[in-house]
Amino acid sequence: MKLITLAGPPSRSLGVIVDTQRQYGQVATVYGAIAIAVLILVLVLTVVIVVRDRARVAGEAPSRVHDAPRLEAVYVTALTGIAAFLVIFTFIHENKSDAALTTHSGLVVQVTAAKWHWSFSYPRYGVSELGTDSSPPTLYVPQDQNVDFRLTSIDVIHAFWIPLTDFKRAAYPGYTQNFVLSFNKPGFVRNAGVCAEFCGLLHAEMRFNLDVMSPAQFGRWLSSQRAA
Amino acid sequence: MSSVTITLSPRRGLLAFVGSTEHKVLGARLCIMAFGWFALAGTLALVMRTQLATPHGALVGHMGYNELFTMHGSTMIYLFAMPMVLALGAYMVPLQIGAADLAWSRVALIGFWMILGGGLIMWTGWFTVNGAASAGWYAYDPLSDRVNTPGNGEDFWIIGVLLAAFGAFLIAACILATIVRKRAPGMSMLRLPTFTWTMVVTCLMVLTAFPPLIVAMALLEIQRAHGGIYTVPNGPFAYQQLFWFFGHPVVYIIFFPFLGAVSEVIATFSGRRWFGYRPFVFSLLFFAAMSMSVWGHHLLTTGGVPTRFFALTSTALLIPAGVEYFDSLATMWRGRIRLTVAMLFAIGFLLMFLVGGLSGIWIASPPLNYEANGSYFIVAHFHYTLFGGSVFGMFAAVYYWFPKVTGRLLDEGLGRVHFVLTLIGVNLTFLPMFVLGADGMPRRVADYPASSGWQTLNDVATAGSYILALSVALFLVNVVLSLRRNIAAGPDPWLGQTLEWATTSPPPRHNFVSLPAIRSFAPLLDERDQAAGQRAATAGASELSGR
Repeated sequence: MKLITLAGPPSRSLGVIVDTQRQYGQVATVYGAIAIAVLILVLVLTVVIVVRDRARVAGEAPSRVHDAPRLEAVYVTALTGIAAFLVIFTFIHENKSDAALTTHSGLVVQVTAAKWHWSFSYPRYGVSELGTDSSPPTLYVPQDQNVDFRLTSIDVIHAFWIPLTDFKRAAYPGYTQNFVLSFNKPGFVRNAGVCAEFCGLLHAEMRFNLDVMSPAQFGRWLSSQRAA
Repeated sequence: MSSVTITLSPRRGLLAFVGSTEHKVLGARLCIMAFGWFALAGTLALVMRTQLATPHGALVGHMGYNELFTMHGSTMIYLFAMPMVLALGAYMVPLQIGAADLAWSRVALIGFWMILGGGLIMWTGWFTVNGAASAGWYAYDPLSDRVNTPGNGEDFWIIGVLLAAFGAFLIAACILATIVRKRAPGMSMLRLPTFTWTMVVTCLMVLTAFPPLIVAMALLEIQRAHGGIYTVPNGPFAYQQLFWFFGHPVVYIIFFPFLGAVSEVIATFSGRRWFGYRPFVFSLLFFAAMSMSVWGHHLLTTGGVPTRFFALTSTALLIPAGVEYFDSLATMWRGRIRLTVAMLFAIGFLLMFLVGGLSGIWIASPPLNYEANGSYFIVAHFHYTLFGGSVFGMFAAVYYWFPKVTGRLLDEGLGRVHFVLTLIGVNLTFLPMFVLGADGMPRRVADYPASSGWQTLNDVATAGSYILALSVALFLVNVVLSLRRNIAAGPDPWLGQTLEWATTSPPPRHNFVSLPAIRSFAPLLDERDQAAGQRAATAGASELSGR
């Protein structure tokens, strides 16, 4: 329990819990709705034009109008408006998801990617969780807290991806990437994390499990690891 | 001259065949070669899809799978799509602009042999001890160095890419020079047919995007042989920048000529002039210029690029793309639509590419990209652009221009079945991949856990890929049967609008006996309109005199 107070409530230092998943969800909803609307519009328009103008009787000549500069200018303006909306909407949400790209004084997890396994260490507590090529490690994190990741690679470029968080980062050799994530659902998820940058022979097998624990459980886990 | 040709011995005839600098021979050869690589790379894809039909598939091992997708992607990009684009350009551009031949045709011939040689060298990798290249089609360093990817297969791959890229660069230069210097009298730049305009922007992009690739590949080989290039701080990231500075424009390079072919098909089979020619040309130029400023969207999760800049430039591409859709639909609007197979593929192109384009706007948004990057969502996205877009466009072009090149018509009945199978196949194969990617399946995996629940969607994709294979086989059957049936196409079977339809099929050695007057980008349509106007006038006059 003492360990938890050492870690402190990390949300205090950041002000908010980083929630990349929510940003993804909100942008995806709006983008998805627009995309499906455009797809349906073009599909319906195409079918209507083909059905109607295919039936055009032989004697009737096709239209001779071959441009409509004013209409097209209005259309381009509308497109520009849509593009501007999408960009601004994206920027607003990116500001929130890029809040993840920071460091803070909470729980630090050092993530090391290597061909072809992950390892996690908690430097402040001297605890490490090492994976091997044949048995994936488990990333233990406390629930509803910002977890401060330090990501690096020892060999080639990898990418750290936990699909549940809708967030990933590339891992470069000799270079550390900092980001903060939080996990709001407790429980153990097998194969929750993968490598998302092709890294050679066993890229497909480079996974890890995720265990999101209550802060109390997490504290007990940390002390048990320390004792061991 | 002709008497000299007759007295050639067969051996020298073979040499003449190998060394022919005629643009039509060159274009046809590029096309056949590209299609051969398409079939080979497609076969690799079938093996991959079969491997993924079950979790822990045992058809090929991890190494074999890595070789398969590396060679599939590289072959499709460098040996199929790029040469196919240049094939269309080399064959059709001189015809469309009323030229007798390609400029610098010997340089173009060297380009052809460099691409073919590069492809053969790349594929020689399969016969080396460590197998073919296996570092992916973008061969990031340090994965692609000699420690992480030992063996000569990777070296052969680099040399193959270098040669193919250099060859493509040469041919593109020749096509652009042809357009700049060899236009028929009256053929001003703003009277170039729409397809030729797409070749202009394509060649401009090749000339600006390929040098960085050639440099990146040369440095990569030096890195493999001697080290010290990308081992500097941030070297791996520098390679990524170089590669994608080429890697993004290249997907437009292998897309725009097919858009151009589709625009010709839509105009012809709507019986109308292409709508909004000037905005269309401007949108192409805008697209080509912007293609140089979007590469960073491949690196949004690296922390090394200004994400907002690349999100802005990439999203802005919806404006010129929207113009192209507007012009396509407006050309069909109130036209007299003939649903030939070429037109079906052109309409399929519009709809399938739209899925690719909309998903492209999706992944240009960083909060969405953080999820999609490196996943099957990306695989789905670019296959909708490159199969749904480029390959549909290619088939539209092939059904449209086959009679011009061979003098014979392709069977429309078989063509319709081919179209329906392709449409079903492409959606069955690639639509599930959006869902798989959103659900967390990474790209380039030979294996996935049984507990992932991904098998059903993978099985749908695998079934779709077999349907695609069947559709391609059916197309080949159609080609063979149609050539054997030998139904003469005549010079202009479709009521075409551009100059290639003003000569025989196939065109004679120097293309044209005489050229019609060129007053717009659709000179044959002008002629027909004028004749119709005269007929109407004569009919009106005779009606008057009868009264």
